[in-house]
Parts: sequence; C-alpha cells; structure tokens
Amino acid sequence: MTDKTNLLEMFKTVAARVDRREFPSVTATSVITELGIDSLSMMQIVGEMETELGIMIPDEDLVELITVGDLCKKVGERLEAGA
Amino acid sequence: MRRRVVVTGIGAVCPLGNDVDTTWQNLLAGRSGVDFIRDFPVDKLRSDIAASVKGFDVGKYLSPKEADIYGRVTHLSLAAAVEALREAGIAPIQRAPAADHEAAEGAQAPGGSAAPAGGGLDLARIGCLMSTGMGSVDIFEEQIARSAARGPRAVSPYFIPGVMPNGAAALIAMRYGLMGPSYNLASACATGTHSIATSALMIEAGEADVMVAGGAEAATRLNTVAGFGNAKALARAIDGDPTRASRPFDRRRHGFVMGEGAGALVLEEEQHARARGAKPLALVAGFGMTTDAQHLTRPHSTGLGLALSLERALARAGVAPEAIGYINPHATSTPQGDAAEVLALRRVFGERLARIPISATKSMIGHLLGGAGAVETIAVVCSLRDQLLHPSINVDELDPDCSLDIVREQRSVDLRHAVKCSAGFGGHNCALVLERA
Repeated sequence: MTDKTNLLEMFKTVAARVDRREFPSVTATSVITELGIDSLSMMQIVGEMETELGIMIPDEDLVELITVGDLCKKVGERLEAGA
Repeated sequence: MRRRVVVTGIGAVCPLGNDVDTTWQNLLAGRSGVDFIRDFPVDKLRSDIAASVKGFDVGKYLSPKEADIYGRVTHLSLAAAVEALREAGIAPIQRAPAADHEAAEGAQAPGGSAAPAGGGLDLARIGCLMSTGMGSVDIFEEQIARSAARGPRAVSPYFIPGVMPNGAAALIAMRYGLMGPSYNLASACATGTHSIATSALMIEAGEADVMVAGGAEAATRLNTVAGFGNAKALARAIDGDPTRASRPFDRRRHGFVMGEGAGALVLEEEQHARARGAKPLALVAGFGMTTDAQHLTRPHSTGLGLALSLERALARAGVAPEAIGYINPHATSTPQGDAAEVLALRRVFGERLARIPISATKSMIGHLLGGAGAVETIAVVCSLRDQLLHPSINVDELDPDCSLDIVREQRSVDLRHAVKCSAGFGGHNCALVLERA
C-alpha cells in the first residue's frame, strides 16, 4: 500500500487529471514548481490523494514540499500511521 | 465639453450564433433559438425549454485546465470580449491556446512585457466591466455536489476564483493587459445594461478612455430552472412548440424563457477613437439608472422606476422623446412585466408610442438575464449601423393593452436615435439612448 512506486504513479495520474496534461517523465526527485504546477494546483492534487486514500495530511506537513518524492513520503507516513 | 462615448467594437455569443454577424442575420430573419432542455432531467421541473448556446468551442479561448477552473459564463464572456476587442483593433498581450487564431492574433509571446499593444495604447486607461448577474452557477453546483459526495477536502482550491462573478473581468484584463478599472456589477436582469451605462459614465468622468463593457449568463442548470420555475416566472412550449414560448406583448404570454450568452462592447472616448483610426459604430448618447424601491421581484405597478430611467437617459443625451425612432424594450414576456413596461413607455413617449417601431430581442433569444441588456444593446448598435430593425416574433394576437408598432418583419429605417431599457429583480432599472455614428 505504501509502495513508493505506486504513490509516484498515483501522483502522475492525479496530476494529469487536475492539470489536464500528462507528466510522463516525473520522478521522485522532480521539483514540483519546475513541473509548472502552481500552489493551488498542488493543493488540488493533495486533496485528490487525500480523499482517494482516506487520509488527512496536516498543513505543517505541506510547508516544505520541494519534490514529488517529498509529497509521496508524507502520504506514505499518513497511510502507515492510519494502518 | 462633455467627453462623448462611442462604440468601437461588439462581440456576442448567444442562442442565435457564436458571433455578432451570425446572430444579427438570424435576428433579422426572425429565427428562434429556443429549444427543449436536453442537458439534465426535466421531468420534475415546471418548464422544460431554454435558449442555449450551440457548438461553442471553449478550446479556442482557454487551455483545458483554464476551462476547468472557470464556469461557462466566463468562457462565453471571454469569447464575446475577444470578438469586440478584435473589431476595435485592440490586441491581446497573452497568447491563447494554440488553436485560437483569433484571440492569439497580434499577441506577443507568453510572459511578454505589458508594453502598450495596438499602436501605443495606454493600457492603464483601459478597463473592463464584463459582468454576470448570477456568477458561475455550474461551478457552484459541481463543487457542492463534490463536497457532499467526498467531503470538504475534495473541494477544489480553484472553487473561489472559479466561481467569483468578477472572474471574466479579471481574465479579460489579464489576457489584454488592461490595467484600468475592472470589476463586476450585478443588478440581475439589468446587469448588462448597467455595465454599459457605468462604463460610459467612467469614460465621461475621465476614469478611463476605453472600457470593455457587457454582461453574460450561463445559468441554465437544474436548480436555477427549478428556482425560476417555482416562482412561476418561466414560459412553457405553446402547443408543443418551444420556439413559440417567448412572446412579449402577445395576449398569450405567460413567462420568460431562460437563455444563455454573452455580449461585449468596446466603449471609447470619441476623440481617442478617432485619433487611433477606430471606426465608431454608434454613440452611447445618454443613460439613466433608477430603482423601483417597492418590491423584490414584481415590477412597479405603473412602471414608474423604468420611466424615470428613460427620462434621465433622454435628458442626459439632450434628446427629446419625439426624436426617438426605435425602442428595444426589456420585454421579458411575463404578463406583469410587459404591462408595466408599456405604462412606463407611454408616460415617456405619450400617444406617439403607438407609432414608434419596437421589437423584443428576447422573443428570439430568450432572456439572457445578466447578458440580456448587453446582447440587446448590440442589436440596437447593429440597427443604427445598418439602418435595419429586427422583428419581434410570436405576437400572434397583440395584447389590447399594448398599443404598439411591433416590427413584425425586418424593416429598413432612417434611424438616428434609439432607446434600450432593462429592469431587473430587485427593482433595478437602466436605460440607454444610442445614436447613429
């Protein structure tokens, strides 16, 4: 469930859906702002992942998200905490 | 000397066409844009008809992501403004999606500086009042349904910027780099007319040299049709024919038909327009704005508020009632509304009213609510430009209380001055005097 690859794939799927464009070459080290994802779109992606996975990520965990991997890590932590 | 206001561009998206030319030709031909509603279940609604925009391609104007963020009313507003600004010779500074050859025309590269476009225009002197009466009803419905189904964390962070009624004004300002005054004003069904009047006032007062002014609505959704229907305001098909439902001044009128669409006008100070070679299509010679201050939804029983707005508009224009050669009325096709309007017109024009040509644009495109006054004013501008009046349809039997010269077929005229008036829920009235350029 907390498989890092799966969360990365989930991010790509959700990001493509909310930003209406593909993200084929995204990796865990991709910098979110360099992907052209602005802050509101990022919150949209977080909200989608939260409701799909049934978790809530605290706002303090969202402060220092630089890379896609940073977000996947926080999501993984919440999933484990809930398990 | 007062700064005079001319119209240098017009744009429309409405149930009779997605541009001004198509719309105007269909209006002249007396065609109806009303049809049965097919977008949602109507079995429990009091009316199953509406006038919808057909075949509108938002991809010409916005990226898929932008189209998701903004509601349909904003899509239509932008499209109308693009057409009007193109005619006025004012170019965008931001490039629209690749497919948009129209909006992208003359555009600089994305991220280009906000340097004056279109021959040294001072963009800080150009503003935008592109308004809506109801806002993005579709976004409201979608996001509330989303919250109900998946909880409030699923509500889009774009909900608020997407639903705010000033979204179109902001979007148009960004696309064209307009740094003058811009906002949304709302007066229900008088919104479009009020936006034109207020923009003209802004130019007269020296707050701007150019204003993109107009209104739009795209609110034909399950719950709005339910709301208007439950208020007993909506018309139904006549003998199974939806095109006969909107029938201002006819004896069998029984309500209005919800319509959607947008109208945008580029208003400009006359000398400013002439100096840059922009061709005036008509003048906004006068305007008047008043309030019934009597009832939330019912028109004043004698039409007093509306009459006062017309008198103010004529006085401001310095035009006598005797000089008016055409009336484009509010004429929603409700029994009380049309009756009160005729009383208002009779107070202003006296017995001569019966000899002034009059035609109701709503008989063909339905009631565009916040967009109505704008698209109808564009029809008047076309009349002054082409010296042609469009007909009013569905007057099978003129209401004996409405002794009027209904234009029943396209009519050639020698027209110098015309009036357009609008009245909205809330008792808001606005009238315009328009003059041949």
